[in-house]
Amino acid sequence: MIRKITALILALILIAAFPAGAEAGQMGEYVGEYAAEATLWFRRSDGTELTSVDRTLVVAEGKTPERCALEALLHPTGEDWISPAPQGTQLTRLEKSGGIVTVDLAVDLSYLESQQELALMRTAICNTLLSLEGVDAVNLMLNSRKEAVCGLPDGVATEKDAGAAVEWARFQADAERCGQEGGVSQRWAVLYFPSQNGLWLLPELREISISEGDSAARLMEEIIAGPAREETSARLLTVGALAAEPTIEITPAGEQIVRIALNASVRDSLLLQGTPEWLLSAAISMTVCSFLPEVDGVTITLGEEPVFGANIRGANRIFEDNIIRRQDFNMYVGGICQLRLDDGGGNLTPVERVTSAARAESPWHVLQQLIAGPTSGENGVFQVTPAGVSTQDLLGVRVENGTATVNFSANFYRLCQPLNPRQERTLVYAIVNTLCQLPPVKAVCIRIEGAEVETLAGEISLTGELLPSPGMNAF
Amino acid sequence: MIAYLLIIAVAFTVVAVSLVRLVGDYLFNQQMKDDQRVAQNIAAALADDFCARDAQAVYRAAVSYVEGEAARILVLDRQGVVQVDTDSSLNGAKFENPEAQAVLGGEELAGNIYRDRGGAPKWLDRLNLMRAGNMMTGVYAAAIHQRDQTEGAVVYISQAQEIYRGLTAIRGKIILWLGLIAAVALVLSMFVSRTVTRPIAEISRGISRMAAGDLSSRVNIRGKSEFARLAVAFNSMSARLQQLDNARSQFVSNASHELKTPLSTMKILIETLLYQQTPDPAMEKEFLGDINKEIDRLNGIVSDLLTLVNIDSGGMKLKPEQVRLGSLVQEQARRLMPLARENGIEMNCTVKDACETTGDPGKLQQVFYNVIDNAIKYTPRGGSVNIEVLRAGRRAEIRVSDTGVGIPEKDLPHIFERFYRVDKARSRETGGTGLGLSIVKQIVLLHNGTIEATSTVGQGTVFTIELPIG
Ligand SMILES: Nc1ncnc2c1ncn2[C@@H]1O[C@H](COP(=O)(O)OP(=O)(O)O)[C@@H](O)[C@H]1O
Ligand SMILES: [Mg+2]
Repeated sequence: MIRKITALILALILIAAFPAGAEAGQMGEYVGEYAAEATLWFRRSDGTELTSVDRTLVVAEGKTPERCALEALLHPTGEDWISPAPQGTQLTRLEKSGGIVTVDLAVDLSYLESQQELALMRTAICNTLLSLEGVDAVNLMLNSRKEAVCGLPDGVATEKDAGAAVEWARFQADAERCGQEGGVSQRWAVLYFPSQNGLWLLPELREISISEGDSAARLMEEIIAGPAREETSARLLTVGALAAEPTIEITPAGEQIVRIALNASVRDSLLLQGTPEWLLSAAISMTVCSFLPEVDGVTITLGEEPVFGANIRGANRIFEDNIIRRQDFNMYVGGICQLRLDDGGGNLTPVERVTSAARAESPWHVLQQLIAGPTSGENGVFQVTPAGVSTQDLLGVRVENGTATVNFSANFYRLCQPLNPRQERTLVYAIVNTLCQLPPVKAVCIRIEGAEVETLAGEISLTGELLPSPGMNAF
Repeated sequence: MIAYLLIIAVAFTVVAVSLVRLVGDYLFNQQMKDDQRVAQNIAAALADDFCARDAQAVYRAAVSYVEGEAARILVLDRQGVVQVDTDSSLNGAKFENPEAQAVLGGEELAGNIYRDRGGAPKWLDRLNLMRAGNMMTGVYAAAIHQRDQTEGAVVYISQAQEIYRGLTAIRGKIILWLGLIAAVALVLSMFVSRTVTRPIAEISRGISRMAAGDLSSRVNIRGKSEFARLAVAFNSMSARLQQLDNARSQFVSNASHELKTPLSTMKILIETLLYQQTPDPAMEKEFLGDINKEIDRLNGIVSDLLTLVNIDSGGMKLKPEQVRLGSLVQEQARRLMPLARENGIEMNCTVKDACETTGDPGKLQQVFYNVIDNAIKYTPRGGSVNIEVLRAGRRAEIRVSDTGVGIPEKDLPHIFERFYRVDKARSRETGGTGLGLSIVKQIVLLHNGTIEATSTVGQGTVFTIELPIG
């Protein structure tokens, strides 16, 4: 009782004494610059091989390590290093979700003298990005299209430290094999599936066998096979959805379009499943355009009707000439943010929430999700914050030099007073372990109204910063 | 025996207790040193990752150190807050352990073994280590350094249970061994007391028996030990003593008897004289003559006894001077000639060599007188006595042979003993005491000579005395 009263008084004093906390940058989100390790693959002057150099990149505020690595690679400082891309190459888009990075470069391809140079550039960019922590696959697009190497889709790069010459030899060998009767090659493709919550597209890596000219059909087969991660991704098409084999045509404007003919029943099954219809166009166009080379878009027919537009989250959109392009949907690539919630026994169970790719890695957003607690579909996990704590009580998150300083309200402090040691530890380490899953965060500092407090309920010392406790994570 | 057992028990208990303590301390020290080193190594190994705030790496490394062991690692930051815990149950808590505080306060190392649950400090309780049966916990802290700065501390907590168990086993072994040794010591001491103490006790018992007057007691110890030899010596000594004692009592009884006989005779004669009704001067004269003879006889016995006692006590001193044995023998033969004649015995004395030597002439005369006297006494009328003095090399030989009654073979070895007489009646009749030959033998021996007798019953006896010349 006495403890509660003192806590209340302290909370009031804190509220009175630290309104300055807001001005001291303790409100909202701020992620300061931090360091990331990368291996940059530059072009050797002879133009046939690459040379790698380890760098510690300074990831400036508002940037990502991937962007920094690409900038460092495309615009090398000093004369010793040669960019693997032609001069004037610009990064137009960078998507990152669940370890899959999609890079779109604006590049003047006429500078590239041969397929080998193209392959060299591809290897350099992919190797560089794959050297970053958290990057498992790189899908390189040039001028918003996939390029063919030796006449075959180049696919998604997953292999780190690949030698340029070796890669080139493999492309040649693959082309030769596929040229023969019945020859196939393995490629990694990114499939996009609707998220379970019907708001996002979630990318997924899939290894597929291709032979000359049937890549579109293979991709459709994989989409029909469904997502591997059914916890977060939803099924899109079922067997028998295809009305005809996909075909490729060239428009009068000279664009390459893949024509996908689906049965009209697809609409009903989507409705039944609760997946918004726009995700059909989104997933198919994204999947096809992210793999098939030199394809600008797709057209989809549902029965006899062509899909000419979509209602995207309440907003109508018309596709010009019924052509659905990757750019129409690439902003809907979602990401999975990982939270750690109490499994009821004091261990921290991972909980995945699909959000926009950008927010998935935002400390502020992740913490908001954590405070919001388990959603109706999440079973076996429990709220870590005491009852009465709302997202309003998160005043700010500031990441600097690897330390995330989380600023909570005095209300939060007050509500935490009655926690028992186990609950207190679970709460604190749910916050710490969740935040430390984000690349720039190594340790967490918890402040109340911008001020240092000894502890919340007596068990955990909050005066310093806390490292995560991996042993509390239940995998 | 109980005292022995008690001493052994006390001594062994003291040894056992101090041994167990010694071994225990050694083991603990060793364990502490080892664990301290472990803590230090872990601190060094984790330093880089910890300073880089790579909790995952630190945790994984720490877990790998304690994998499969009853140990735990805590990594504390500078404030003493647990940042890594291999059990993941103390993260974020302040760890107020004296060792950790010492290290964070600037010490390089600190360690201690906490025994037993009673009064365990709060932080130790929080470790949850003191579960049933865990009586000992070693807590070691080592500093984590980066560029000479203490960045934190590794606390290595090991269950000292192993040493404790080892110690119990060792204690059991020590007690067992000491018990065995005690038993062996007991058996050995019993054996020693049997082989050493018992003979001594036996001999001392023999001595006290002897002191009590039992000269017949003997000590029985077998074997070849010193004690057995001592027993043999003791036994021969007591045999000799017994023999002497027998001889002494024999002598005393003989002497008393010999002295008593003339006294009783005299008493009878005197009483007869005193109580006669009518005095008869002829008988009185005869009786007084008899009494006089008895007195002579007593006198003779007493002087003989005195001579013997004198010899026995070593009081007899020879007065050596130049003597001619031939003349001495002739002189004695002449002295006894009347007696021989009286007894109707023919006596011849042949001196083949004068045999000049040194000796006590008085004593030697006594010798020759006695032997010749015996020859005459124990030769019946009509017999003869032959005396010869001759020289054989560096010895003089005096041979006295007679044609008398002779001495039976069974008596021959005893004739030199005191009071020994072959025919007591006859000897007495002739006025013998049985002391003559023993005095003779003693004197001859004093002159480094020998005397021996050969005899044939009914034919005669030959006494041969040999004396050194020069
Ligand atoms: N020449 C001898 N012939 C026979 N017996 C002898 C002779 N000399 C000594 N003996 C025996 O030895 C005994 C001891 O002699 P001795 O000591 O002189 O005592 P004693 O003459 O007083 O009897 C005599 O009693 C006698 O029996
Ligand atoms: Mg005699």
